[in-house]
Amino acid sequence: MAEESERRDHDETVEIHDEDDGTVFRAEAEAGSRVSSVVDRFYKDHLHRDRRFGDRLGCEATGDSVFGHLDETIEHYEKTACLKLVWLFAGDQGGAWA
Amino acid sequence: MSQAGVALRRRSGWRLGLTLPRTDPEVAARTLKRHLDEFWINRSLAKKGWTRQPLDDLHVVVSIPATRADGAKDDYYVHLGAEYYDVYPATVLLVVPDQGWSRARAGSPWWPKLKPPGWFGLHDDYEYRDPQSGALLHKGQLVCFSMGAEYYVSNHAPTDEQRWQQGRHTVAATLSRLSEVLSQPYYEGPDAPRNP
Repeated sequence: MAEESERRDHDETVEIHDEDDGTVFRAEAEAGSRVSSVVDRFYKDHLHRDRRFGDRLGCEATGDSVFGHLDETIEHYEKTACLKLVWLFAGDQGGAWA
Repeated sequence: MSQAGVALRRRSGWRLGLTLPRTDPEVAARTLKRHLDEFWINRSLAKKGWTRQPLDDLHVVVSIPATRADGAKDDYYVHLGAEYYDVYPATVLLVVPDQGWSRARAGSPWWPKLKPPGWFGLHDDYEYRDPQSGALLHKGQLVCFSMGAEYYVSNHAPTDEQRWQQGRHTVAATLSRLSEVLSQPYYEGPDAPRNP
């Protein structure tokens, strides 16, 4: 039990807002796990598809793309790139040039 | 409101003009409200300065705060219509916060000055006719992106991924993209000064 509690203390919650449909996906992740593991889970469990050209996933506070940090640990990424683990997802869209 | 129709163009080159199918008004109204409620709560939009004012079951005006480079905020008002929702996106019209929510025009304080990304365009007066029949499909303001209904009346060719997908996209996609272009680095301020 103590061990379980200790592990939970080191878990982080990543909140991903899907701006295509307004829903929220929340993922628990150990601090030492890779950013890519959360991204992979989001695609598998929420979007049910692979990553596509035009997909955007950014830190809400900075706009910085999460895809540029896939190999970092959650702990490092949180300290250096996105202090609050809230991400925004948007799929591709057409406009003036499409 | 502008006339609404749709021009579907395949990359092979043939085009088809037809009128957007209106959805059942009760279903459309219920669906738009549900999607708007969910987006509003999940993104804590009221705390972020957004407002919404229902006009009737099918229409709502949403105010979106735009952010200038120096951090100053300007509210813009967007009239959304659920006539074709959610088979197609909501209709989108920038409006003036007067009694009748009249159409905003370029050169006015309610028209944003933008350096938009490639996936977004804003036209003060846009006319599009069916290339075969000559029928007028759209005339008026065009908020040009694939998350607005009017986009589908004009000469655009989104990929399958870019195209509005019922069951996948909701009005959240419409409003989040509008909010994005009204933020940095795209938004430069109102097209004319606003009275204090």
